[in-house]
Amino acid sequence: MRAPVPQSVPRQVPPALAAATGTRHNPWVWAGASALTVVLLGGVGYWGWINKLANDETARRLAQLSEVSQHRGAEAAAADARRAPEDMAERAQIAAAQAALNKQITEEENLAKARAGMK
Amino acid sequence: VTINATTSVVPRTDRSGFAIHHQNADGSQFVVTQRRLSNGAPHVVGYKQIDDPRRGVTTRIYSNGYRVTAGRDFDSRSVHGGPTFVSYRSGLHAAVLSNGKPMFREGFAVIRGVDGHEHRVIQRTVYARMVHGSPVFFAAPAVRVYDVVPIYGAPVYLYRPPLFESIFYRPFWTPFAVVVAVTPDCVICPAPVVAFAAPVTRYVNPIDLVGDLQISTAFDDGAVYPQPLATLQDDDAALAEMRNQMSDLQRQVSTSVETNNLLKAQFADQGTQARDLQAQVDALKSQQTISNMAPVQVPEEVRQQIRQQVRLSIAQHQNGHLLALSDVIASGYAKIYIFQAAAPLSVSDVDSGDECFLNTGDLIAFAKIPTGDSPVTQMKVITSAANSCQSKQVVDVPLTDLQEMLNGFSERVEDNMKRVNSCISAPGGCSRA
Repeated sequence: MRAPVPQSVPRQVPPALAAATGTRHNPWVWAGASALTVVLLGGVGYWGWINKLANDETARRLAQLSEVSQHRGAEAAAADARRAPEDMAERAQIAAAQAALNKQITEEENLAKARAGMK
Repeated sequence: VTINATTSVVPRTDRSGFAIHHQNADGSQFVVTQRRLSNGAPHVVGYKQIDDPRRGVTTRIYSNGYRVTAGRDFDSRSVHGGPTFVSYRSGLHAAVLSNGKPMFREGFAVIRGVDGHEHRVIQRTVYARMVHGSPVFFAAPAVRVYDVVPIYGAPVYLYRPPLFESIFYRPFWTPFAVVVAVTPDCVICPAPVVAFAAPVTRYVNPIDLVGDLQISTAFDDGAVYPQPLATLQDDDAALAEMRNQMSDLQRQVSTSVETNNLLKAQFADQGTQARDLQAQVDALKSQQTISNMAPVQVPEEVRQQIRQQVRLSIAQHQNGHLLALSDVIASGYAKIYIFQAAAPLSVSDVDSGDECFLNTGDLIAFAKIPTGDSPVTQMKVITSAANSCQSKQVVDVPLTDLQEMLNGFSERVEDNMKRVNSCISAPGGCSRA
């Protein structure tokens, strides 16, 4: 019997390994992809950071505005509170004066009509 | 700061402006004062002052047409083209038309009162009244009587209205039998010299009509109407020439500011620059184009208040009650009571001390109710015509002038009641048609 002769088997290369092998052949692509990834990640990070800063600034400003607004509101309220009694007193004085004038008119008219024999 | 031998500039002590003084060759003087109002607008007043030391008379002719004369025993005020109102130290008054004829004059008289006693009174003989800027002479002069009474120790003159039959007052107690429509044919409706905030199309209540006439006829008396050619041509030309001379004077000072370091420093200290002076020139020149015929705007609350006062005045007239300043001050309604200028009046601003004018019809109220410790009181301008003291301005007014305003108010109510009576009893009613 003849000993079996080992046959030459063509080497089969797994596709992944083949790709790896291809990559190994093109380092620029790898470097470019990596750089792109880094840039993208950085961009996203920078955007997030800026956005956060902007949000913080907006929030700070809003808080400031709110504070100013509250302060002004308080000042206006205090001024109103100071003025309100004066205004009310002024209005009361005018109302009293109008009532006094109306009373005087009524008295004079009643007297005039009585004299004219109209009452 | 001296500009030259005849012109100098004097800054105001409150640093709000300055005055230019210029000596004219004929001995008269130009004075142009400028100050910045609280609202930032420049306020310019210019006048020519003529002194007559021999007669002791000083006359000021203002660029806006007012004329004020002060003599040893009198002072007088007039508006360009209108009557000259004279007040004598004796307490008597007179008014002279621009043509020299008397409008009214006064004299002392003694009459027996209803109490049987004799009283010293003032009698005013009225020959004419102004209608739309022209005098209308009465067929027979009207005589008005004033009682002399003391108010806060000083003698003042109260109008004593004549008593009419009760039939004279009856139309004012009830609505018009025929409504008075406000149309161009209406012979009694208020003249467009005033613009009411809430115009009406018809009058049902006679007191509303008399109230509105009270406002409009007074402003009409004070209005400057274009005069027929030749009547005032010389006066018009003289006034225009005076304004031009004042503008030239301001321009001269404006130019000097550029070259005179002392003047420039003075003006810089006041925050005034050459362009302010230029604005001053323009402001004075624009006085030439101010239309006195622009209607006076009357707020509704002012109109309603005057209607109330007219209503009171009609009843007081019928009762023979006098309208006395002391009563108004002591009443509970002094705060809202409105006084109406009965003649041109020169007054001074309480804050700045500047002179301004109240003209016939202008409405003022107490800024401070008098307490009797001063012969003048502070009054706030409520509604005024174009060349008068400005609305909201607070001015000092003598109490005697306030009583004259009340006298004028009563007299005007009486005149307007007569007009309404004659209108409603006329065959065609109150309409031309």
